[in-house]
Amino acid sequence: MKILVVDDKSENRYMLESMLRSSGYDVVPAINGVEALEKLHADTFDLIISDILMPRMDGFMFIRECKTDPVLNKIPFIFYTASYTSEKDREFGMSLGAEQYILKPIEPDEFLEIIKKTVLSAPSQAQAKVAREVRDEEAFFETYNSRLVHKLEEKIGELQASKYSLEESESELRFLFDTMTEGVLFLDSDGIIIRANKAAEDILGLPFEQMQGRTSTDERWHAVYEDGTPFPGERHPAVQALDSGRETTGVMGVYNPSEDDYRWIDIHSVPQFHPGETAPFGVYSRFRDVTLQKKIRKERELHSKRIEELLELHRIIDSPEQTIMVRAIDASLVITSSAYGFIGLVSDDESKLVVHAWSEGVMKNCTVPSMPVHFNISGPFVWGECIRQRKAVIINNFDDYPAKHGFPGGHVAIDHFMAVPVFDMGRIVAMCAVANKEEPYTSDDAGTLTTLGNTVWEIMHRKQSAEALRKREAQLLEAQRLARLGNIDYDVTGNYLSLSDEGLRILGIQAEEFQGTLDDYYSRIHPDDLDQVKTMYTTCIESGGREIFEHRILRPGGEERYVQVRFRTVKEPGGTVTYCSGTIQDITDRKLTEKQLEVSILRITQNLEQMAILNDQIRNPLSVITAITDLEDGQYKQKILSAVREINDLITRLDQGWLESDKVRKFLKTHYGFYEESG
Amino acid sequence: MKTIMLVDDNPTLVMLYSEVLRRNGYAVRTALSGKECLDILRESSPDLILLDIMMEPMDGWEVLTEIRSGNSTKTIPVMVLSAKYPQYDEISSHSPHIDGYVMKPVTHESLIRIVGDFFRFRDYLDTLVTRAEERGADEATIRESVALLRHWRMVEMFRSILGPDLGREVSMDPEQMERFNVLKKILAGHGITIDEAGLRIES
Repeated sequence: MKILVVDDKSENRYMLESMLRSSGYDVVPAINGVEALEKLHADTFDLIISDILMPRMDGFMFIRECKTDPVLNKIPFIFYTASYTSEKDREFGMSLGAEQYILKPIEPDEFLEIIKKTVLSAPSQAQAKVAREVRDEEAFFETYNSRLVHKLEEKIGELQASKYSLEESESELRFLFDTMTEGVLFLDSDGIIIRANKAAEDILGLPFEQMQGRTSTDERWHAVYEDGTPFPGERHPAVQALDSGRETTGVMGVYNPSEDDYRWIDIHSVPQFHPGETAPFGVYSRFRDVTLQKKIRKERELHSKRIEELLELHRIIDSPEQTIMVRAIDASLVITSSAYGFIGLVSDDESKLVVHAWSEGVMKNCTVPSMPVHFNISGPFVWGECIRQRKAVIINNFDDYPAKHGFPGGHVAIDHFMAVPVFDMGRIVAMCAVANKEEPYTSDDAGTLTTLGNTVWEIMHRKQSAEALRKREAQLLEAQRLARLGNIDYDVTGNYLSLSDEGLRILGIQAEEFQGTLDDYYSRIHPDDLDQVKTMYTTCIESGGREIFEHRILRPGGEERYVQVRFRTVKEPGGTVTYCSGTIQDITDRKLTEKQLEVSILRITQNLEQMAILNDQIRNPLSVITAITDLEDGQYKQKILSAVREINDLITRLDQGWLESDKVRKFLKTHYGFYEESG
Repeated sequence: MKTIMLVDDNPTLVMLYSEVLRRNGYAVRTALSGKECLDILRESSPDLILLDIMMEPMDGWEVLTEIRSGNSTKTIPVMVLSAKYPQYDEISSHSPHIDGYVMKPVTHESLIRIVGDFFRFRDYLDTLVTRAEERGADEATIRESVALLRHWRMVEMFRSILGPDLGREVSMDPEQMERFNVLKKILAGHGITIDEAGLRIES
């Protein structure tokens, strides 16, 4: 199926063509009625889609030609228009024999649907219509002209409206010009300032009257680059824009006389042309005050540099302390933009400062004794001021500093300096000092340096703790090894039992031989003790308590060892035991010693018991002697009685020894007793 | 006149102690063995028995058990008079059943003093019982108080024999101690104060 599309606007034709082609139609375009008629005579078409407002022959004229032609009037005709939108236009179009009158815009699907319907049902209707309209040519032109006049009036109305809105927008622009925060200057073709808005006056610090007539190259602007060098007039964006005829941008500092300070501006100069001319008649320079942004950017850069420096310090935690110190000093210079610096450690009583490293600048520019250098804080030592005052000290005018004592020979020349103490638990542990920043030191700098000091201290401290921890762990392991003390941990939920190296050694097994379960552990316990041990563990895990118990184990080779287990359970908030940990200690040697001791004491006790029986037999004659002597007051009565008492006291001491040893034996039996009395 | 029965397998000692006791106003019966002692007791009841421990074939502890199990003899006070240094297990098993422990050799003076102390203690208990009964304390309380007082006295006696170091091991058990204190309070409610300090004995 072939469709003729008639429209004077290429984008409209393109849109229709692509829509129809994608739906499988063949499309032939034409740009007006004249060309359309030529195409119609050259080829056969199934449908015509036409715009109305077109040059040379418009749509109304075109349909009239079609519908009066006996061949062409059989082709269905669709008007598709954005201009003739009134009901009268539509009635006129339909009266000329159009099958459809469609207003733009319309959804593609809907349009395609209409096309389909029109093609199927068109011919008979079309012929009937044509007969009616074409009869009265006069009527056609009358209506046709009225439609055109109407359209013209509309166009004039539109033009009128756009004229008003132009005026409106001009005043709007003028308002914007004056109220916008960007400064705007208008310069003529000679680069002379003709107009300036309020913002421009503020930013440049000059009323318009004073800048009127000046050029951009005027020396009174004192224009400078970011690095402080003069900004040549011929490089000014406005001058460049005038010379090149292209938009030009640039950033410069200009002196603001009302603030006696530089303002940083970002300039955007746009040359202005009259139509048809190649040389600009002037240039608009609009500029933003970027002083604040510039300051913020600088701060941000410094800040990120500071963070980087601090992060860098953390990265070198494993380096020797001296390296960390030197690195930290470099960092202190970067983050405070200082020339010199050092970090010192303060003695426990805060009386002495020990400096292990200075910044490189110091090393180059003065003669310092070999490291480390000791300072008395109470002495004439300006750096120590922050320790004496226990706060950050900033001296921006060193010459006028009252506490100044003068520097020893070889000291670097100090203009101004800053020193901060580093606190740890209320004690000053270190100090950081920097000197000779280009600008004065601020409390911000002090804050930054304090952060650095704290970081360094924290790193050193953490380093020491880590080392101490490693050392302690090693000591603990060694102690455990010497004490034959192993760890036993049991994860109840996962039924995973782990033994430390020493624990495994006690059981006489290698790590790979141990399955890590409670059952495997049980299998290594002496069969005679197993039930008791199982009960212990089970009760302990169920009740969540702690236990100390001793039992025997059997090593793989059959060797029997005694172990003591101290077992502690860890409870969940709900009360369930999920984890147990404890120690396992080989106490075989102790057990053997105890057994020997037990045997010795038993032997002693038995000996003493024998003696005690003898004692009773000695006491009987002593009793007789006492009774006889005591009955009569003889010459030796008192002497004999005291001699008897002495003997009795001696043998009583033996009795008491027996009692004592019996006590010891019973104590051992109660506290360590695995052994029954043996002969 | 109070009668004391002396039981010892050493005739010399029996003779000598009898003489001393008689001189101090006691009537004395003697027995040279456990069997003889038990035979005599079937006919008469002494006020106190002084019993030796190391005897053959029946030792003092066996004799004590017999005495304490006989209906007519079980309330007769028995004081051990022995050359045997007391053992902890003996102390704990026998102290509730005896009324004193005297180590031989002993001077006559000490023996008489210990015996005298014992009778004074008996009198004290008798007075206590009478007064408690008069003041309406119930029989069980009185009996228990008497028993605990006797026990307390024995503990004190053993502690004094063993000395401060070894004596620490000998004590009334905490339950008895607590009960003792309760009874003292009950008696105090009847207006009877037990003065322990006054009852303390030296061996």
